[in-house]
This record gives sequence, C-alpha cells and structure tokens, in this order.
Amino acid sequence: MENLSQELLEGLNCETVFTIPVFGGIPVSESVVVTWIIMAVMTILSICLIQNLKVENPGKKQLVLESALATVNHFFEDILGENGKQYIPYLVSTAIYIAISNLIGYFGLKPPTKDLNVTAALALMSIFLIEYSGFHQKGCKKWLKSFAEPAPIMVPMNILEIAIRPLSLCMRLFGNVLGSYVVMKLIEIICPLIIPLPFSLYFDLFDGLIQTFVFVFLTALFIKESVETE
Amino acid sequence: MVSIDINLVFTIINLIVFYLLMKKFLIAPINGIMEKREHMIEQQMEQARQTQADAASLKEEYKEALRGAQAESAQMIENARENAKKEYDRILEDASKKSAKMLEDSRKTIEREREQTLQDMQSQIAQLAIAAVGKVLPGEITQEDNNRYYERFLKEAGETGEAGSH
Repeated sequence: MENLSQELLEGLNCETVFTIPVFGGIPVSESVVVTWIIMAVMTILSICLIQNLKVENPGKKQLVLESALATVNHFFEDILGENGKQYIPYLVSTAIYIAISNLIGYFGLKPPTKDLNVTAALALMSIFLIEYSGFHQKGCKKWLKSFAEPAPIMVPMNILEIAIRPLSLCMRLFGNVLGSYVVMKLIEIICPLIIPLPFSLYFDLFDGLIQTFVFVFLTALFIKESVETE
Repeated sequence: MVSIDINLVFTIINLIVFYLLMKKFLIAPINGIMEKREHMIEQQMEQARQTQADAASLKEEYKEALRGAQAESAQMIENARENAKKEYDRILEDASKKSAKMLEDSRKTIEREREQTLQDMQSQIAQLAIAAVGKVLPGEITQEDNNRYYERFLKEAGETGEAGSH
C-alpha cells in the first residue's frame, strides 16, 4: 500500500526538467517541454501535409484533411454563428492540442493536461477569449451592461461566472485526466496484462477525446453566449 | 504536488504560439484552398449561367432574324412578281406600238413607192407618146410644139388616168 501511494504520487508529480539559470532559477516543468514537443511535431507534420495542395483534383490526403477541417469548421460555425467566426481557428488549434495532449500517454510521454498549470492556462485563455469576444462584439458600454442581464440582481452572479467558468473548465479537464490516470495505474498494479487494454481504450482514448470535445464545445458555447446580440 | 507556478505563463505563451503555428501552417492553407475552390465553382456556375443566357438571347435573335428574312423574301418575291408583270406589260405595249409603227412605215413606204412608180411611168409614157407623135406627125416639130403637145397629152392622159382610177 505504501508502495502504491508512493508510485501514484510520483506519477502525479510534474517534474521539473531543467531550470533556466536566471532570476535565481526558473523551473521548466515536464508539461511545458512536452508541449514544445507537440508544437514541433505538429508544425512539421502540418508543413508536410500542406505540401502541394491543389484547387482542382485534390489527392486523397488533401481530401481527408479538407473534409476533417470542414467538419470541425461546420461544427463550430453552427455553435458560434456569424459573429463568432473569427474564433474558430483558435478553437481548432486548442482542440488539436488537448486531443494530442490527452493521447500522448500512448507514446510514453506524460500528458501535459495532467499538469494543473496547463489546464489553468487553457481555461484562462478561454475566459479571456470569451470576455474579449463580448467586448469586441458589443463595445465597452454594452459589454458592461451585459453583466446586468437579464436583471440587475444578476450582477454578482455574472461577475462570479467570470471566475467560475474557467475554474470549472480547468478542473474538469484536470480532474478527468488525473482520474483516468490514477484508475489506469491502479488497474495496472492489480493486473498488468491484457485487462488494462479495454480500460485504457476507455479512459485514455475515449475520455481524452470526450474531454477535448467538452472543453472546446463549452468554450464555443460561452463565446456564442457573449457575442449574442438581440 | 499540485501547484500553480511560472509554468502557467509558459503554457499560455506556448498556446498562443501553437495557435499561430497551426493557423499559419494548417488551418489557413486548407481553408484558403477550400475557399478558392468554392470561389472557382461559383465563378464557373456564373459563367455557365452567363453562357446559357447568351445562347438563349442569341437564339431569340436568330429567330427574329429568320422571321425578318422570311418576311423580306416574301416581300422580294412579291416585288419581283410585280416588276415582272410591269416589265411584261411594258414589253407587250412596246412590241404592239413598234409593230403598229412598222406597219405604218411600211404602208407609207409602199405608198411612196407607188407614187414614185406612177410618176416614173407617167414621164416614160409621155416620152413614149411624144416619140410616137413625132413619128406620126411629119415634118419638123419645134421645141415650142413639142412642149405644147406634151402638156396637152399630159392633161388628157391625166384625165383619162383619173377617170380610169375611179
């Protein structure tokens, strides 16, 4: 039992990979390094994939890419409407990032989304985007006024929402990834052969993708709510 | 174990950079291509519609022209018929006029020739008569006598001629 909790703690811990030797040492954690790896791989992959795109007679590879992106674009467009169109690329890139982060455990790297810093950063970006979109759409005055809707008595609630929304986004993602990680570790300790496979498919693949979907879906929904004009 | 630290800031920077990279290298090019294709298809549709409209208007024009040509040809045939009729009438009239004139001319010529012949005959007969008188009357006949006889003969012959012609 002692051994198990030790191991779990070790798994949960985000180790500092190296320290930048300025201002008394800035620690750079594993999640940031893994994020860099994801960034590098995705960028290189993208550059490879977008080679010789053609307007006429697209190849199979291009068709797959196009239909995938078109589906995602369509999905977000349905939620966001005409006013929120410019936020689609951010949501798409966030979805790519979270999905890869959740699934990168299969490649032997620690998922960055298991680090609270990463999910907090994602949630902060989301709430910033949500509020910015409302500000951008409505202008300063109307944006401030929207806090008093539908009734002035809702002002405290609406202000609280600024904190609650990112917190829930952040904690949901973090908790799910962490929870599935812990459950998987426990199963592996009990029976390290074969049994973990279906569970892994559920907890790592399915849950990882579902959480990706939930995160960007909620962000899109909130953005739509804030850009909505009667 | 679970703590918020400077890595939050790093992650935010990472996310922004990742977003820019994805936008630049994945999303923008593919969206651009799709937009271009859409644009092209729209353009082609527009072109096709234009071509169709052109063809329809051209057809209408041709129809109109054909109708015009038909009317024109009918008009032309009518004109030609009229002209031919006129020409025919004119030629006929000319011919009849000409033939009448020719008839008249020939009649006149015949008349004239007849007169000429008559005159010639008269003068010949007179000379013959004179010669006969000369033979019949002995002696010398003076120029004066000659003339006198001649005149008298002419007169008498003329009277008999006139009586004979009646």
